[in-house]
Order: sequence, then structure tokens, then C-alpha cells
Amino acid sequence: MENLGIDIKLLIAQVINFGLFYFIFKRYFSKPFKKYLDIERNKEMEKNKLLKEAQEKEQQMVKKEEEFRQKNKKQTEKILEETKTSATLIKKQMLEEASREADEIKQKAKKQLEQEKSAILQEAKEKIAHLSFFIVNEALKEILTEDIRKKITQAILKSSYKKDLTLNEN
Amino acid sequence: MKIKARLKEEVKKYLIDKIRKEQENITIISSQQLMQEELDSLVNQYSFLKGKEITNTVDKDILAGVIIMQGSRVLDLSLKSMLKNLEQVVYEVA
Repeated sequence: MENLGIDIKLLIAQVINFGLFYFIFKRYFSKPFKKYLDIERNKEMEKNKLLKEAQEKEQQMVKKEEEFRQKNKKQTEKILEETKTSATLIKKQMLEEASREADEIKQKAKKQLEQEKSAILQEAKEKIAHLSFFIVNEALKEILTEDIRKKITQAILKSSYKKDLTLNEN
Repeated sequence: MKIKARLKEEVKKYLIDKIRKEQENITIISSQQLMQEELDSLVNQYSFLKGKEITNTVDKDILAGVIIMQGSRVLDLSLKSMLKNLEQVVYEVA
């Protein structure tokens, strides 16, 4: 063995040294190290689990957001449609009302015009009659002489005798 | 305010007298002075003129004819009133 270069003593010492190292390592370092590794592994697993849950939640959130967006879009479209219908209805009603009011104003104006026309006509008639009377009266005042007046008076009295006339309350 | 009975009676008497006098007096308005014959003819024709005091006044504005007035009562036979009637007819017919 010595010829091969192997020192038995050194070998035994190394074996003992290794044995001691193994014993000390197993006794004092292996368990805490393993425990530390287990804790780290668990932490990693927990982290992965949380990450997965977070991803799932995110996906759910995205899905919900999409649903909400779709729902919101539909609602907006519905409201828009309703508003459009309502606006059309209001427009129609306003147009009808405006048309009715215009008709009423037209009728009123027509009636007023007719009334004014009638009043003017009445006034004209009155003026014509009054003017005719005035002209004839003034002309007769100028034309009638004493003699003619007397003759007319006689004629009036003569014709009145034929009628049964009496005094009337003034 | 209470009116005394005596005062009331006097006012009543005064008004009755006034009405009686008005009834007795007749005014004939004409465009020219009427002759006595014309007045007599009128009295003969209208019985309400008989026995009444007649006053003839001239108003050329009535144009011709006569207006007989007794108090508040009137018989209008003037040419002017005829023209007025004609004016009414023109107004109604036109």
C-alpha cells in the first residue's frame, strides 16, 4: 500500500474526519437547512398559488369588465333609441301643436278681419246715410222758398188728415 | 232725510198744476208762420187740439210741415223728420 502511495493512517484519519463531518452536519445543519428549504418551497408554492388566483381573478375581472362594457353599450344604445323615439314623438307633438296654434291664429285673424270689415261697412253705411241726409237737408234749405215750403206743409197736413195720428211720448 | 208732509203736498200740487198747464198749452212749430185758416183746419182735424191754447213758433230748420207739441208728447209732421226716416231706410237697405 505504501508502494502505491497510500498512507493508511491518513486514510483512516480522513475517514474519521468525514464521519465526524457527516455526523456534525446531520446532527446540527441538515434539519434546519431542510426546514429552510421546505419553508422556501412552501412559500414558492403559496406564491404560485396566489399568482394563479390573481391571474384567475384578473381574467374574471376582464371578463366582468367586458360583460359590463357590453351591458353598458346595450343600455346606452337602448337609452339612445328611447331618446330618439321620444325626441321624434316630441317633435311630432310640437309640430302638431304649432300647426294647431297657427290654425287658431289664422282663424282668429280671419274672424277679426271679418269683424273689422263688417264694422267698416257698417260705419260706411252710416256715413253714407248721414251724408245723404245732410246733403239733401242743406240743399233743401237752399232751394225751398217760402211758397214751396207752404205748399209742402199743406200737402203734408192734407195727407196726415187721412191718417189717424195722435201725439206720442217724446 | 224725512220730507215734511205739507211740503210734499205742495210739491205734488205744483207738479200737477204744471202738467195741467202743459196739457192746456199746445205749441205748433212750423217752417213759416201758419195762417189762421190753417190753424183752424188743424184744430178741426185733430180733436186733441180743441179748446187748447195754441202757440205757433217758426223754425226754418224743420224745412216744411209742422211739429205739434203738448207737454212731453209730440206729433212730428216735419219734412226734416221724414228725411231722417229716409236716412234710416237708406242705412238699413244699403
